[in-house]
Amino acid sequence: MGYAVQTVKAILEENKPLLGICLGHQLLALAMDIPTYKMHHGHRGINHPVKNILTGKCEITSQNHGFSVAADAIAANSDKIEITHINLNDETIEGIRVRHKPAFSVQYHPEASPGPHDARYLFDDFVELMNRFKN
Amino acid sequence: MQQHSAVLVLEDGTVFYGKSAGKVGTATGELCFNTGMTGYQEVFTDPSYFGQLLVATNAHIGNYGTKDSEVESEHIKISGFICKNFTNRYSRILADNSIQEYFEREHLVAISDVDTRALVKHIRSKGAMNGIISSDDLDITTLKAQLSKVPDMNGLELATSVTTATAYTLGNETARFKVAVLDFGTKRNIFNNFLQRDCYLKVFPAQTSIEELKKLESKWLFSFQWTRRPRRYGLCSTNSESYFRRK
Repeated sequence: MGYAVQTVKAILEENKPLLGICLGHQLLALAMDIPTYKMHHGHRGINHPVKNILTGKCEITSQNHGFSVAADAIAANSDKIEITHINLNDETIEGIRVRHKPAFSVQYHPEASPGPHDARYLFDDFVELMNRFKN
Repeated sequence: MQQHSAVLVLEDGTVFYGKSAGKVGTATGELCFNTGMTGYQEVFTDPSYFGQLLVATNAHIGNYGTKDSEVESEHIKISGFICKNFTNRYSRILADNSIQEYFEREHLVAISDVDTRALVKHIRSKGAMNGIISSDDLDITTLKAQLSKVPDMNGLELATSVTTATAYTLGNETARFKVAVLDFGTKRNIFNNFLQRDCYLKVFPAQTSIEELKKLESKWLFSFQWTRRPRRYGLCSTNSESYFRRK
């Protein structure tokens, strides 16, 4: 998937608002040189509790992933990238944002379907981001 | 519904017996389990599950039938399905088909009456692994031989199998925002969420280059100068994380 990582790197350079969902989240991490790893048995279901660290609120999310981004690598690059969401079952990374760039991503599925609509505010956040970066 | 015997063999040699459901045949893939109590049809059609044998932890599957509009992509994406109770009797008035009819139409091999609780506990302790299900060949030795040829998920690049072949647009051209979507197996309701928020979408194949995306700006946004940053332009790269493999 090197081709996609290169594309995401180029998009980041353009300073365009960028939202990554699921694989898109991992591609954003990889574009920031954060590695991914294969999980023991992944997260698949519609009741995974995730904490939004920015707001302190918990949301019940729809998930389907067998890989995850490495928390230690993010900690080592905290000047470039920030953790925004964590999974409350196993504390894996569920969301990140790039410092000084209009780019963020989540590992889970904010559209749900199936699943609760708790996380749909992320689409509103992205629209707001596009609004702010309209020029 | 007449069901005959079927078998599930795991990569570590564990064998589970059950009954045939869906199409009679053989299917392979990485075993994964979904804990959702509802939404099975959306899960079957979620492109993120491409190449996986899905185990439902919910004990009852099929009891609300299927509805043609409740899909996340055009066809079923899982490679095979494993469950406990599989029924053709559905109670939803709005349903279009029974699950058996749906699986037959989509050529999906499934196995029911499996001890899914034991199976999921096994995966939970041993980790994700490949498996094979069959209702036309119950010989464990030949199934094991076939299973040994299934590649490990780690290292597979599957996004190009589920991305769109050509670019296309969705929504109203006069919408407030124009969003380019890089499709690595996007679910339909991701598009819907953008469309509901006054966005016009152009969906691109996974391997679209940045040069191609940059062309979009001038064409779409009628910039006055080439160097000027286009207005209200966003990019969403989505989904199908299980397609992403890196060693």
